[in-house]
Amino acid sequence: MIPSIPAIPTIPGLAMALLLTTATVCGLLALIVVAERIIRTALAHREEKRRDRVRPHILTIVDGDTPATLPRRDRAALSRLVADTASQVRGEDREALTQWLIGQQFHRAHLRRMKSPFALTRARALDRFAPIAEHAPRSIERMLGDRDLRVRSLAAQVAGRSGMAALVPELLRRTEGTRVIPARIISMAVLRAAPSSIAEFGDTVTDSNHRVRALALDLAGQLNLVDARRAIEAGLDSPSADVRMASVRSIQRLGSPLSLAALKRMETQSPEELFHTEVVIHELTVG
Amino acid sequence: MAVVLIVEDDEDVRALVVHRMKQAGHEVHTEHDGEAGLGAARASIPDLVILDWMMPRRNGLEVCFELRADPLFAATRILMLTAKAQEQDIERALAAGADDYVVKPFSSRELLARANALLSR
Amino acid sequence: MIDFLMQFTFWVTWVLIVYYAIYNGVFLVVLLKGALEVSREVNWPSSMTLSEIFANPLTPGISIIVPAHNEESGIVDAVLALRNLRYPLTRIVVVDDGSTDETFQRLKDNFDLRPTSKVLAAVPQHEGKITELWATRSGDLTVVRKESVRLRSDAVNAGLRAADQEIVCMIDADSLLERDALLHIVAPFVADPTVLGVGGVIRPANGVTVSRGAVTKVQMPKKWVERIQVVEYLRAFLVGRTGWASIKGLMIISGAFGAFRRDAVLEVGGLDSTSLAEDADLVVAITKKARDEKRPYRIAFVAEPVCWTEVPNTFSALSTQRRRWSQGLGELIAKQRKMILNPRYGVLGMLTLPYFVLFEFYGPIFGVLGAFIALAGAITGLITWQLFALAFFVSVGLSLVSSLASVLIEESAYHRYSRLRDVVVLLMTTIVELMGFHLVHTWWRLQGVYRALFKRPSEWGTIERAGFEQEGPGHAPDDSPDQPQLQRETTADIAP
Repeated sequence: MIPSIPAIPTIPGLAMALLLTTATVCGLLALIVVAERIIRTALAHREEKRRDRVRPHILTIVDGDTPATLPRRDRAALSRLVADTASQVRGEDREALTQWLIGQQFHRAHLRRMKSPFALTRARALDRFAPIAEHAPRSIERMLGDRDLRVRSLAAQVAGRSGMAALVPELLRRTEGTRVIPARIISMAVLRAAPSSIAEFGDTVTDSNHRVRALALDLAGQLNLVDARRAIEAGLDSPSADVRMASVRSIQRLGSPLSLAALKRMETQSPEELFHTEVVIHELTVG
Repeated sequence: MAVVLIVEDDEDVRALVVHRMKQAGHEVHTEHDGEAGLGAARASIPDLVILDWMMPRRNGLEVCFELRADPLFAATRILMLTAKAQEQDIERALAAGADDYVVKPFSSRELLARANALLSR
Repeated sequence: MIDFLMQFTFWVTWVLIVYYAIYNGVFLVVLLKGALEVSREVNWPSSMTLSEIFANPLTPGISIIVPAHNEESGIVDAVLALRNLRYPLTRIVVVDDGSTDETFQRLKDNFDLRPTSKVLAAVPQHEGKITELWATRSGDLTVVRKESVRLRSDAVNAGLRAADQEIVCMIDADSLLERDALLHIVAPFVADPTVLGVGGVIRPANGVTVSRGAVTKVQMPKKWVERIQVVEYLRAFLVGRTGWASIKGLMIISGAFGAFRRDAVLEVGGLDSTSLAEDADLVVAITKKARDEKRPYRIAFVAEPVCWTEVPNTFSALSTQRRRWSQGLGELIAKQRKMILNPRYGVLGMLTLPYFVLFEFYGPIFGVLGAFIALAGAITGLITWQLFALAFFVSVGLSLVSSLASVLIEESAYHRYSRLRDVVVLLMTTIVELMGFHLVHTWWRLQGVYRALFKRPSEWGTIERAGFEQEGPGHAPDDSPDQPQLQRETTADIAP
């Protein structure tokens, strides 16, 4: 028998102590579960009642009036409620709600928290800030370059949701470089931001980076930007196959016979490209 | 003055719509799910139903079908208010018998204008 | 002689102590990782992301493949429920796998189906011949009628040929999805182009109130056999699976609800119909392929509970299911033995697979023999009670802690059970599960180990194949680090 091993269980009371500790831990866990449930139910109930109490004030705000002064907690609840509602409406309703929020200094705390060292805190602040994002494009632009990928992606979604067309060039440039955002998220954001003119793409349609340029041209087509025709046609002469194909696709989407000349001039460099180009030429000719 | 039934599960949206409708002088009833909405419709025979699409128990589209299948509601106008924004969704809603379609995020003034237009038909 | 027995018992007990200390130690570490992941997920603001996915025209489409064999009672509700999910672009593919009942007629009566000449993809291969193809005018519902070879995987493969969207989601006809389930499961694909597969959390649907295909109320089921499974699923999915995924070692995406990039599934030829463990098999195959070709890849897991599915409600049905899971695991391990301890396959090869071999597969042998010898030894005085107490602590005590911790995580993160009473029942069940059910379960798993090791024909192979009955008990919904679910064919001996 190896003498060292039996020594462990014979430490007086060790086994008993372990069992007792386990029992205590288990008992505690069970208690926490039950306590957690009770406390959460109570808190949720209180918040619900508070929300019901302050809800009528939203209507006052929407009508452009200032609601009566509220106790601090109620005011906080009203802020949350107004922020939630703001994301569901647009036009004058939204404007009235966001102006009230700004008047309440709603943005201050969130802007500060967007500089937190913790990604989760930054993300939550950004999310709460979303309803008034269009009033602070610089802050959102900064978040597009956040060091955490998920925060950057969230910022892109906020930019898109808030229709911040001014951020389109910055979004597109995030396709490449050090702090990238997944292409699909960028496309989705740009499409949601819905720029109405190619001018809002800035110089990304002539960007020296092929991926940025290809994405820009592709999205110009998906957005049906008629004034992007020349920029798209210019992409046909690019040395990059990605850019050329993006241009062909976008010309197809715009469906303008005016592009026929450019297409016919194009020097295709692979059978696949030739095939696609001919399909589009055919479509445009037939009408 | 018209009788308007609002079936919407989001309380904030509902409160806003109710507010606008009341301001316009309509008599307003509300429900927060499809099943209860159908019941309320049968009880009040509204002139206009404002329907959310995504709701618990029965969705707006099903409610729309049910209302349209019932001659009681021949004169009732239906307006869908929803976050579903794809073309084919709008097609489906109109095919199901909705008279108009408003996409969220929405403007309450626009909603009211459309509602009044439907009511004056 | 007595001296030898004493020595023997003493050492067996020590082996047992070390074994369980490692087992529960690893489990607790994975659980802790899972808990961190869950708390991050729960606190992360996701509603913006989900509503953007819902509202965006660039959201990838999903083809939902629903294999159905004699599902006349539920198929229409199932399709209606899928249509009602919050998702912008779903294409439902129902595979009528040689149903002899009214399954197809019900579909035809309720949906505007017409014969279609849609061209199917040439891959993957499947055995049962496709006889007819029907679709609605808008194309959101396709019905593939095929001859049955009594294999769910064959039906899924046929469905894959008709799946034309970027993402394919495989579910059972009786799986109940939460309203946002598809948004949740697609989010990882949108956020990361290297994601090849996403698994979702599955919970027993027993005790859940359903209205028109949607879950309306969640309560603990009435029978203990069901309650026990609720605890098992909680622990296995919520924490275990999430934990494994967070260290890149996820091995199984349950067939009851999972989504994959269509091209990744086609590359490995769809589901392997020879496998008892087709769903684990698919994940392992996809991972292996990506690793072999040195491509970046990720198998993600969504910790939000999104899918409810019916689990066996009698002990005999449950025993069959568990024997089969155990056997299926053994066969999977044998098939992929080259991956075990091969650094090329990363965490999956170095940690997950060895863990499954040592603790999940061989676990019952240690459990039964060890418990017997230690208990007998303690009673006859061959080993001291202190030693026995130590063994008891590392095996039962630590397991109980991990079970309770799982309940705590569920309660603080998701709290799906609506009443306080359910939570108390849940807590009580963890004790019943460990003290009573665990022994029985170990015995069933041991039988599966025997069948796998001695290459006994698999249960559903020997029985005259009654086809798969997905309704009701016997239909295996899930697998887990604890109880890998590996097969979801229902067999004659467990049909009600």
